[in-house]
Amino acid sequence: MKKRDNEKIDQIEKALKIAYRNRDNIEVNAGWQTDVMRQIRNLHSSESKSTPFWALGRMACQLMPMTCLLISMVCVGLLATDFNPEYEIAALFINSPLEYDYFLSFNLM
Amino acid sequence: MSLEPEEISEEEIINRIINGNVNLYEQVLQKYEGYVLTIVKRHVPTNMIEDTIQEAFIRIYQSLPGFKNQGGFKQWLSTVTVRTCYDCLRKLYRSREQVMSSMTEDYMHWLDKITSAESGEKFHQAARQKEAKEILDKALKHLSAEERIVLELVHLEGYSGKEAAKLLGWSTANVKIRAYRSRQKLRSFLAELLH
Repeated sequence: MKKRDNEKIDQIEKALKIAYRNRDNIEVNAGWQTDVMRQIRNLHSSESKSTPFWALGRMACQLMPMTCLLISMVCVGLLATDFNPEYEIAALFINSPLEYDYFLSFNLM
Repeated sequence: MSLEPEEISEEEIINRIINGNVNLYEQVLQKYEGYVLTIVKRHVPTNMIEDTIQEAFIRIYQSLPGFKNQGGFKQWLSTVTVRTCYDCLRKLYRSREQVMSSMTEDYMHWLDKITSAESGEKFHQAARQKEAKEILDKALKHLSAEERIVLELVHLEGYSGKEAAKLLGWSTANVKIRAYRSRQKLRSFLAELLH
């Protein structure tokens, strides 16, 4: 009985394969090509009208990996030198409170 | 001296489109519309064909800068188109209502005809009837979007697991597992119809 069922299912599967290939004969309304070209022209014109702000944004995205790398390198550098900003400022202030200059803390002067 | 459009190679046409000559895309559209349409017709329901083919050609245009001439332009086109069909099916399946209409007498009659067809001619005639398409649609709706696209590519179109995997961007093992499961699901659906 099961064998007979399997044979029937095989037959139906075979028929469905033929039906599937017959889908190629379905007609499609003409004119879709014009719609596609219109949409593509719109896409192109909106792309070329992009403002400098967008260009800047795109550039920022492109530079993102480099920025991340730089930030990581600075972090590693600071950790390696055991840099502690509060401590450095406090030490400078305590050593010479009268001559203390904010720029000194960054070694800018 | 400028080249006439007919003299430009396909690679040059693609380069020019990427560089902003959008009007040349019409040539690509005209050359490959039949090919892309055949793929779309096979994978999406009739009422979605027009939207899907438009979506496919827009995606092809947007993906042109990423086209690498490996395996040829036609192969690349079919990959983009199959993936567009798959995305459209996913959208459709996400929003569909699970309504499975009951089998009408016409369908039962068709099943009898197919399973008892004595000659090859009678069988082919029956397979071309509208009931065949409707039962096929019902069977495909019974599957998920992933199962449907794999079943169509591997069992109904005859692609190998490797080829289907390349088209879909999946692993071959994934395609093979899904192909097996979807076929089992289809067969159990057909078995239910018979009883």
